Amino acid sequence: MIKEVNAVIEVSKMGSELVSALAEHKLSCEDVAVFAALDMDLDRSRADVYLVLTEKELLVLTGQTSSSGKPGKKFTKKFNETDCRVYDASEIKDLAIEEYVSSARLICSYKGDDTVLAAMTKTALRDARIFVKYAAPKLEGKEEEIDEDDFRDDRFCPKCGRRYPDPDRKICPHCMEKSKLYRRLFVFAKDYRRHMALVLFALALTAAMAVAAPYVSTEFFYDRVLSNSSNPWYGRIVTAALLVLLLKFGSLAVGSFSGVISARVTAKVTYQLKKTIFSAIERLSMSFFSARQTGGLMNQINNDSNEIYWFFMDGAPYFIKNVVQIVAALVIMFIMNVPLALCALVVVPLFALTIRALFRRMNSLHARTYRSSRALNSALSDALTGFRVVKAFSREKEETERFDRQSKRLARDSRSVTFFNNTAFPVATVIMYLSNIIVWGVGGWMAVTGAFGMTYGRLLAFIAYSNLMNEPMFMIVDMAYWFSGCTNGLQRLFEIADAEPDVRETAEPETLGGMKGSVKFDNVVFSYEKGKKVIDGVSFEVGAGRSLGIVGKSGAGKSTLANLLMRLYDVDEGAIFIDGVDVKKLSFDELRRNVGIVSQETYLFVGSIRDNIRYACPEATDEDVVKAAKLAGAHDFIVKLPDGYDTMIGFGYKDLSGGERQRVSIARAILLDPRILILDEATAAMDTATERKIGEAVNELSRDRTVIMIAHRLSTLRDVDSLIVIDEGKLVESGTHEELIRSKGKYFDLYKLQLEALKNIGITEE
Amino acid sequence: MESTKLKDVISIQYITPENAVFTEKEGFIALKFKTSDGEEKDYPRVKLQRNFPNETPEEFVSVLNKDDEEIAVIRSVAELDEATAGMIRRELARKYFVFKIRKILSVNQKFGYSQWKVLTDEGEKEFTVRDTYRNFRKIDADRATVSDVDGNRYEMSLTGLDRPSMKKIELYI
Repeated sequence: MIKEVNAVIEVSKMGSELVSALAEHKLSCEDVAVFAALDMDLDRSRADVYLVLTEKELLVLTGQTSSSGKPGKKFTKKFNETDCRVYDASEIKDLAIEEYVSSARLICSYKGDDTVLAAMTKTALRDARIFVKYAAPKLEGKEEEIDEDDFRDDRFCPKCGRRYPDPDRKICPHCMEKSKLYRRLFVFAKDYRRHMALVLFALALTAAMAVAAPYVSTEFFYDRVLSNSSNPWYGRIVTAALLVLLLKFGSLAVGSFSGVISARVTAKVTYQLKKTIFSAIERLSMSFFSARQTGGLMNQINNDSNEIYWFFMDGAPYFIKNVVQIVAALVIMFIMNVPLALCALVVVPLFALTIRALFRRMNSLHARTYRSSRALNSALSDALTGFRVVKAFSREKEETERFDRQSKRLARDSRSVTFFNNTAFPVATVIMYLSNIIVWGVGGWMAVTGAFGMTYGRLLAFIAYSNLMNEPMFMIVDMAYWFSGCTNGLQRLFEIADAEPDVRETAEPETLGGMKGSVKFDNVVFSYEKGKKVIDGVSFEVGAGRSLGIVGKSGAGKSTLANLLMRLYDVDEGAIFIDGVDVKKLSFDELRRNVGIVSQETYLFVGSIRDNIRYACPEATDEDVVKAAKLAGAHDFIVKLPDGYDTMIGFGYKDLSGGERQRVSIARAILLDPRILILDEATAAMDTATERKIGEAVNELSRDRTVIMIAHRLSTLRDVDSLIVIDEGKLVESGTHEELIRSKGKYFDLYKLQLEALKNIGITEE
Repeated sequence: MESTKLKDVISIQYITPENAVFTEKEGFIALKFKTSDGEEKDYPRVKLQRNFPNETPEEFVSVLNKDDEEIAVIRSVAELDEATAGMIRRELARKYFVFKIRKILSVNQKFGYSQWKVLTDEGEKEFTVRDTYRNFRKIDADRATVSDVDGNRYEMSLTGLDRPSMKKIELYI
């Protein structure tokens, strides 16, 4: 029996340090049934703690692991044991983990006494849970079936072995190849290769003209046009002025030209990127959305793609242009005068460092301003959304003060940003001038003495070039920051594009060819989070055309059963069958065309009521729509609206009441005409009279289809053929209403309680 | 199903020297409790839960049974006799243990995460925080906490940190 578990716990995973530590206790790898590594001793100090369960004993080894040698070369780890506790396995009962705020402990009942076996930080919690999952049944002499997932160690980067910063996101910041990301982005842009080449060419041309301009307006002008009468250009001032003008206009024209093209390409590429991401998102399973907040997700996509847009629109072109400009200016300066060029360069490091520091400070100031503006916005929306409550408790004054406080904070932060901008950047400019002054001084001396062939015009040109080199620094220094923001955004977007849906459609689906609608749950186990079973071994059957009620407390797992039948999630164990075929073998299309759901959360899209009702079957006729609405009890209130079925609803339009929304969504499900209809608390927001009316409609519907109704109000379920009671993920009772009343179990308790509540207000059930 | 009286639902059942005896054994707290009806009940293991963990950690401490149902409330730990108060404080310290940051060695933003290297009472620690602005929380004028990706919490005293440490977290405050 032990062997089977051993097959999964590879010896290599145990680590040589543990193997040799176990050897001292006269144990070999074959003796070990389950083991786990924890990270804290009982006094909460950092320690390496190993839980080792053998056939007879549980060992808790505490100590420190020290390593010697370099990674890769003669790397050895040694476990220095400081404490070893041995427990008799046959005396351990009720192995459990108790979670605290920032730590957890493993407890059990040992020889009848509550005992603490080990402590851990939350980092080791997953390992401890897996340990309990396999060790607990083992202690009872049972064998837990092995789930390969539990032992697949996917928390570490396979490349460098470092732990992923986020266990839910398999990204190693050390091994992430930035170039790969950008290469992928260029795949989107490959249709625009010619455009991009053009942009690059235009940028180079702009830079070249920017570099040529100072030469013409200074050295050429002073040394050739104004002085040296033997020169053919002497006195031709108008020509020189025109030449300067031409250069300026030329660079302006080329610049705008490249701007237009890159705007076009970048916009198209980001559009395609967004499209790819959105279709990837729609393809993903429910679990992806639960793990990340949907609102934040959409926001993130927009922000990220904007960041990418601006980087390629503004950042990258200017960067290229500026680099070309700096290099060209430098080359020219060195050609003109080597000693002076060196002088001009002296200040550059100082200048770059200053700007870097300034930008850092500015970014932190901006971040702070952003935060206070966010706080102000939320204070504002809080007070306005909760206006009714503010009024009712007459808290207007306090709310005004709260707003005022946030507003003051924002004003203060914005002021410091402006103040900083107005003081810090002039300082940077002064430093830049420092290099000018050096050039003036040294160059002036050269010009006067005529050393190194310096002329007045050349000196002026030289100064112009040193400015040409310094100016782009402001931007280049900030580039790294910009670049990392863009990389980050790209990474997140591709991550979404690459995410694999957990619920996958089978490649070769079986076709039912006219579904009858019998449903069977066979020993279904499911958990949203590993280790916390939401559905635990539930089995039941509903015949085709029959109706079933599911009863239970809120949070018992009723809606999860519906989600599983719809395959919004996949079962962990067991299976669900429709007409005897595993739902995993059906195509999504067939499954979802035949299973309709009206859930607690009704979502209506922006559009007319008619469009909302025929959301799932846009080809439905108006007659079908009205029929469905009538069945759902929605027709009456819809025709009372001035715009009838054409009334616009959804975000920003007419607000329907909770009951009305539910009726519209029921109509939507009815119109789909599914073989199996699930009503998940679909009538909870309606008044009793309306609910009863809908109940009749549902009876009408259930005549030729399978209906599964989930409710906690038992009166909703008065007409179903049979009932099941779910409690904490387990099926505790099943049968008809009469049978359940007779057996006096949970259902009876619930029934009595609700009946009493009705009696209290003077109503008795007929 | 037990019928619960309205009175029991809305009134607070306090722990008093007369109605409760706590005992401690090997890191577990047991309680003998006399209900308002005079019924004696034995709880071999109880859990504690602070009602206001940030503001008044020693007041309003719920005593829960194994299934997390409230048995009674300790109005104030200080009002208990010394031995019991000691027991309760030890149990609270166990449950509410968080790493206390003494010095922040480095905070690096990388791809949406921040990598922290800190010195705590339990030695040097490295951890990763996702969405730092959201997971960094200022509790009051002095205290702040930060939670890492695994859910471990770290607490720091803003006035107790040195200048270089403060500079590193300035942005999140």
